Amino acid sequence: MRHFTAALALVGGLALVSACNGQSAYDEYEDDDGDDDDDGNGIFNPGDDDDGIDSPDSDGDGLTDAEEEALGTDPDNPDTDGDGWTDGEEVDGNTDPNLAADHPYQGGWPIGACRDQIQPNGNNRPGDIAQQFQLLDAYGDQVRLHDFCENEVVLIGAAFW
Amino acid sequence: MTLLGENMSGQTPSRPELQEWAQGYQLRHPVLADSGFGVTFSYVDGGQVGLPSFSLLRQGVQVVINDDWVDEGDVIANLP
Repeated sequence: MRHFTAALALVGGLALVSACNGQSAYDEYEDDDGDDDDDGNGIFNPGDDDDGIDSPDSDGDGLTDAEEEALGTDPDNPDTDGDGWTDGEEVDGNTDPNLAADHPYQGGWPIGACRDQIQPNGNNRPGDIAQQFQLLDAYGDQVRLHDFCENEVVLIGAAFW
Repeated sequence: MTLLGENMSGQTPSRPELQEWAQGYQLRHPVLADSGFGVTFSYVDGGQVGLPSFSLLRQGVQVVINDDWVDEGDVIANLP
């Protein structure tokens, strides 16, 4: 009993020291550089290969089985939605690995993680947030404007004359 | 992005025509089929559009310039 009490006091003392320093006991594990990697914090992050959770990657798609469970993808199928892109490639490309119609562009155009947060307003006049559009590209993909939310965009209207 | 509104027959450009345009001008950005200039017209004030038509959107797809000339200074000034 004495040992148990002493252990509690020790834990309490550490918590007090942490509080006095103004830091959380978990600060040392935070992802200081924001790259979702090597933080070793034991908190699941899709695509974080070193999040402290040991889990196999049964299908070799770049996502651990634990990550696939959290995403709702099949840990034994590298391409859950059958669209030709592996689940890992889709997570890296900010697309939905469970939705065949949503996948990285064959042209390699970047897809911003902010695409689903865009709230269009107005009629495409200066200051407005542009309306979404979806048009066929030269690779046969349907390109959506809001996927380019992290980039500056120049629209050039022309004709094949 | 290049928005192609018509082909030589006044129809929506096909995928091979989009490829031909991109390869012919060695474009590495998206070349898109804009049927009937639908998207291009949505950036135009009034009923007339002059081609080429330029519009500039900054990060977050906020419109900076619609249907007007866009020069290098405009692009640089609105880089993310």
